[in-house]
Amino acid sequence: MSLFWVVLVGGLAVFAGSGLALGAALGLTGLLILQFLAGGATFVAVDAVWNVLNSFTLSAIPLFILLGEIMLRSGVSQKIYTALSPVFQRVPGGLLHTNIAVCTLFGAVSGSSLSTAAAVGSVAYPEMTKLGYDRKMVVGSLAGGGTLGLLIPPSLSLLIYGALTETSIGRLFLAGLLPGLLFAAMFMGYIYFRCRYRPGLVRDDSSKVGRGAILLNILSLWPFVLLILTIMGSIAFGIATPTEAAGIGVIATIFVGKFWGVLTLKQLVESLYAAILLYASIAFVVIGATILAQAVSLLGVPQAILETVRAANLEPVTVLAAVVIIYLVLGCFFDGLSLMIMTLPIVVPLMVGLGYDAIWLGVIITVMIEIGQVTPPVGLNLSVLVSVTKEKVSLGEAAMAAMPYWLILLSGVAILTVVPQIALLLPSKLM
Amino acid sequence: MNDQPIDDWHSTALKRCEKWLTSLFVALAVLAAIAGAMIVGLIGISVAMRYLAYAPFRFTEELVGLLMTGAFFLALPLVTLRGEHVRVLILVSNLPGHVTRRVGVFAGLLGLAFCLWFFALCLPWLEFAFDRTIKTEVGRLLMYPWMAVLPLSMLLTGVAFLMRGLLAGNRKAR
Repeated sequence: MSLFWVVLVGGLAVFAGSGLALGAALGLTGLLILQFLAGGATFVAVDAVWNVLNSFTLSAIPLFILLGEIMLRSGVSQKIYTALSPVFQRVPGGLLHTNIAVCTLFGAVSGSSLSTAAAVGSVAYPEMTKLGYDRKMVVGSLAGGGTLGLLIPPSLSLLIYGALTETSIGRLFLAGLLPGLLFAAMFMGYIYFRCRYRPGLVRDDSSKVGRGAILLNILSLWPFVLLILTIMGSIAFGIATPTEAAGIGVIATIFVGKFWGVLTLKQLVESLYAAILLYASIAFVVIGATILAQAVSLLGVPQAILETVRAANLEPVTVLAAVVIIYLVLGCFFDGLSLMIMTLPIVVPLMVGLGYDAIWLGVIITVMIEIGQVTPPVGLNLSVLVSVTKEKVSLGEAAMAAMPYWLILLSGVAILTVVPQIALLLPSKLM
Repeated sequence: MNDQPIDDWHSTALKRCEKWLTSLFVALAVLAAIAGAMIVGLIGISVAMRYLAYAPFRFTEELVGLLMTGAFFLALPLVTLRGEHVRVLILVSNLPGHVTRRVGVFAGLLGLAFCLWFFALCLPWLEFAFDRTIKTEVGRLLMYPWMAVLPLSMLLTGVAFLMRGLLAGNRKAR
C-alpha cells in the first residue's frame, strides 16, 4: 500500500505540478497504478470513462453550464439587480445586501459559483464603485455571494457528486437549499454588523424609493421566479429528472432572455459554444479522476484506510476534521470542482463507512469547495472578480476582503455537523 | 512575462501548423456545439412527447448520453490546443523562464503520452464493439460510430498536447 501512496502522491505532484492538464495528470497517474500495481488492468479505464460520460445524469452538467452562460449574456442579471437595488436601502450595508440577495437568486438557476460571481459582479461592481462603496468590501461580498451559486440548487458540484457516487440528485439539490439560504443570511448578518459599526464603508443614499415602488420592482421579477420554480419544482416534485429539468430550464431561459432580457441569436450561439468548451475542460478532469478512481477502487484503498481509521479508534468527527483540513490545504492548489472530483473516490467511501450520511456529506464537500473558490491563489471567484475590477483590487486584497466570508463558510461546516437536519430536513420531508 | 520566438523559420512553421490545427479543431468544436443544441432540443421534444402526446421516446436517455460523449470528445482537442484546461500553475508560474520552457515541453510530452496510451487502449475496445455490432440496450442504437470518436479525439488531443509542448519550447523569457 505504501508503494501506492508513493505513485499517487509522486505522480500527481510531478504531472500536475508541471502544468499538465489536471485531467491528463490524474489519468496518467491512474493508468500507471493500474499497469504496475493492479496487475496491468488498464483495460478497465476505457469502459469506466465511457460509462461515466454516457450517464444521462451527468448530461445535466453542460446544460446547467449553458443555462448560466445564457443568463450571463442576456442582461437578466442587470434586470434583477436593478429591481432588488432599493430593497435594502434602509439597512446598514445597502447594496452589499443586494449583492448577496441577487447571488442567491442567480444561484437558483445557475449551477456554478463562477458564473454567479461573474454575472452579478459585472453588474454590481461598476454601479457600486460609482456610488462610492468601498471597492474591497464590494469584491468581498461578491466573492462570498458567488459561492452560493454552487450550493443553492441546481448545483454543478452536487450534480457531479451525485453522478459519481450514485446518490439521488434530487435529494442532494433539496439538501443544499436550506444551508444555502442559511449562508446567505449569515453573509447578510456580517454585512449588517460591519457596516453598522463602520458606516464609512457604504454611502448614505438620500434618494429613498417608496415601499410601493419596491414591491412593484419585486413583482416585476415574475419571469425569473417562474424560471426558478420550473427548474426546482420539476425536480422536487418528480415531474422531471435533473437532466430534463436542465434541458427545459435552458429552453425557458432562452425565452426569458429573449423576451425579458436582451438575448440575441448571436449571443445564444456564443453561449452554446462557450458552454461546450467549458464543459470539455471540466469533463476532462472527470475522465482523469474516473481512471484514478478505478485504480483506487481495484486496490481496495478506501477499505484499507477505513480499517486503519477503525484500528486507530479515531472518532468519526476527528476524521471529519482531518478531511476538512485536507480540503482547506488542497483548496490552495486546486480549483473546487477538480478537487472534489479527484478526492471523491477516497473520501466518500471512508466517510460513509464511518456512518456519515451520503447526502449530508455531499453538502459538506460542496461547502468545502466553496471555501476553495475564495482561497488564494487558485480561488477562481477571486480571480474572476479581480478581472471584473480591471485589477483595481489585487488578488491579495480580494482574498483579505473575502476572509470573513471564508470564515462564515467554515463555521457553516461546524453548524451543519452539529445540526445535520439543516441539510437533511427537506430531502426527508419532500422525497 | 512576455514571450518571443527563438528561431524564425521554426517559429513560422509552428505557427502555420498551429493555425491549421486550430481551424480543424474549431470545426470539430462547432460540431460539438451542434451536438449540445441537439441535446437541448431532444430533451425538450422528449418531455413534450411524454406529457403532451403520452408517447415518450425510448431512446432519449441513451441518445443524450451518446451526444454528450461525442460533444466532449469533439471539443477536447481545441480546449487542449488553447490550454483552457484546469491546470495547477502555481509552481510553473514561479519558475525562471528557461526552466518554465523545459517544464512546458515536459508537460506537452506527458499529455501526449497519456493520449497515446488511452488511444492504444481504445482500439481493442472499439474493435470488440465493431465486430459484434453492439447496440444500446433500449433504443438499439448502433454504438461503434459513437465509440470511434474516442480514439480519434485522443489522437488529435495528443497532437494538440505535442503542439503546446513545441510552442512552449520555442519561447524564451524576455
